[in-house]
Amino acid sequence: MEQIVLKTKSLNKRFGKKMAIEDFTIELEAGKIYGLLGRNGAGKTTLLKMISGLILPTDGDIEVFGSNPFENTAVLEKVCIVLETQLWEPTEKLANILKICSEVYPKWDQEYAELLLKKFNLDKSKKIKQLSRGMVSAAFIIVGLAAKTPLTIFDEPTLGLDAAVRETFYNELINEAQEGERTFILSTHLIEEVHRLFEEVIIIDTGKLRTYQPLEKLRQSGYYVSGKEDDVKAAVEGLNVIEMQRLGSLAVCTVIGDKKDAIGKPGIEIEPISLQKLFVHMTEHNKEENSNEL
Amino acid sequence: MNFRIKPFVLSGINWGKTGMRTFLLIYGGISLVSIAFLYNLIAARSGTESLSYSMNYFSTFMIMILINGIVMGASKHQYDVWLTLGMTRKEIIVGYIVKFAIMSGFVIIAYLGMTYGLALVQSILFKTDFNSIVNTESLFTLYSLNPLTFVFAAFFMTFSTCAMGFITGIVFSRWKKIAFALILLCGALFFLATTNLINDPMGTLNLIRIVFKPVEMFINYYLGDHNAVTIGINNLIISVSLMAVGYLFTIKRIARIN
Repeated sequence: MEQIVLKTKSLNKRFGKKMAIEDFTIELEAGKIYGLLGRNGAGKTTLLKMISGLILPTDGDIEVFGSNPFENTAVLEKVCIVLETQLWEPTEKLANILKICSEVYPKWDQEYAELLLKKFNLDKSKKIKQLSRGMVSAAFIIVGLAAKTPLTIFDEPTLGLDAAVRETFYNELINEAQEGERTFILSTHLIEEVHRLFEEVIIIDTGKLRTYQPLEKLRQSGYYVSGKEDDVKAAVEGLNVIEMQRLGSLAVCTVIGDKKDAIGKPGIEIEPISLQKLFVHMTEHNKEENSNEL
Repeated sequence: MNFRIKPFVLSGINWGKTGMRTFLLIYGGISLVSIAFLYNLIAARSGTESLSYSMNYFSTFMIMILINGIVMGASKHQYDVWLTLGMTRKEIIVGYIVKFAIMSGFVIIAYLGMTYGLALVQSILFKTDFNSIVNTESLFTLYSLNPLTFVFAAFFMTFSTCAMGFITGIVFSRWKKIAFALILLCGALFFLATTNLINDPMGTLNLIRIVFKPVEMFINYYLGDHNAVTIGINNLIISVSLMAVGYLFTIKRIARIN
């Protein structure tokens, strides 16, 4: 049986009158990369903060490695969260931050941190204020990776990073995950770029769990039908079409449902739907009825 | 309970070093310039004059520490950094006490360094006795302190100032109206104290000191009327009281558990 890293049951978080997280129940297994997707203000960061013991839930249960993480050193030592906004003093030197981190995380790998500094081309004698936005992001990606914590959470970690550095990060993430001892939760808006990393995808919308599925299964929820407009129209008649795009005499339809409904119809091509398209569809509130079908 | 202190020690040393360096550079520079100015002024004479800087250093140190504490208290980022590193709230509170203590240590090192360093410069320039210059330093002479008891007293004075600034920062950042009311109250007390001082030098001040009077009496009974020890112990009690208040404020401030 797989080890359960995170278990929430009917988790709620209220800020004043606003419900940030509502009736959120989920179980995550060890050794996987999870993608946490949601629109701005959907409650992703609130959820991640509860997981890492930064804030308490209003009610409901949360267990990380079998225990409540709040004020629990034994659990907190196993969790590293890298937030979108970095909170260190601008005058703090990167070397000092890494030194402090090495004292906090029991499995900290200094050699790996040094290697990543080289890969990301960062000078650890620099102060935070001397680094660009992308460099700051890279610096805290190093913290997340070198911490070697069994559960590592990245909340929008790639802000300001150029494509080459992002690619390096993705490769390092895959390498770390392949060792099988670490679980990653990655919250991001760069869905198309990152989705190949995900084994399972969690979509959160207005504080509620919209879906939680393996990536491949989720992508089977819909498909594109392309071809000549007339052929496409004939093929998708009666199906759940969420979008149709025309380009001259050609058309591409996005369909939600099982692709076997369209297979075999003449003059069309069928391709798997992109995660981003699915995500947009599922979190568009005026199309809520459609998304509920997934 | 297993407290992880080392990260706060590392952070505190970094903070203390930065503070000490900044202070030594700015204040050391100003002091040397003023000594040089005085030397030029009296170069033709025998030069028995000496400058007493220590009170100025100390009050400036205190202002710097107070501001440092306020900035630290007002910046919610400071707590969040530790929280995101997985430190518990209890560890953070203990960690802040450790950081204040480290800062106090650096302040004392800087203070003694400045006092003795500048006394040495003066003794060389004016060809006077080093000890006689040190002995004129007002902070030592004011309370009849020897350097060791000074260190004891100064540590707790610095610590309490730092803690006071920290709490002020927290109050300011979250409860601006309460902070404003407190400032008004302190202003009124200060006004009362200073006006009363003219007619009754210790009258109003004793009202404030009365809280600590039993401890002071206890110490005086066993140790004799020793100013330095009394100052030190008083400041220790004030520090602990402030930290207790700070603990309540800080827990509320950083927990945000709604």
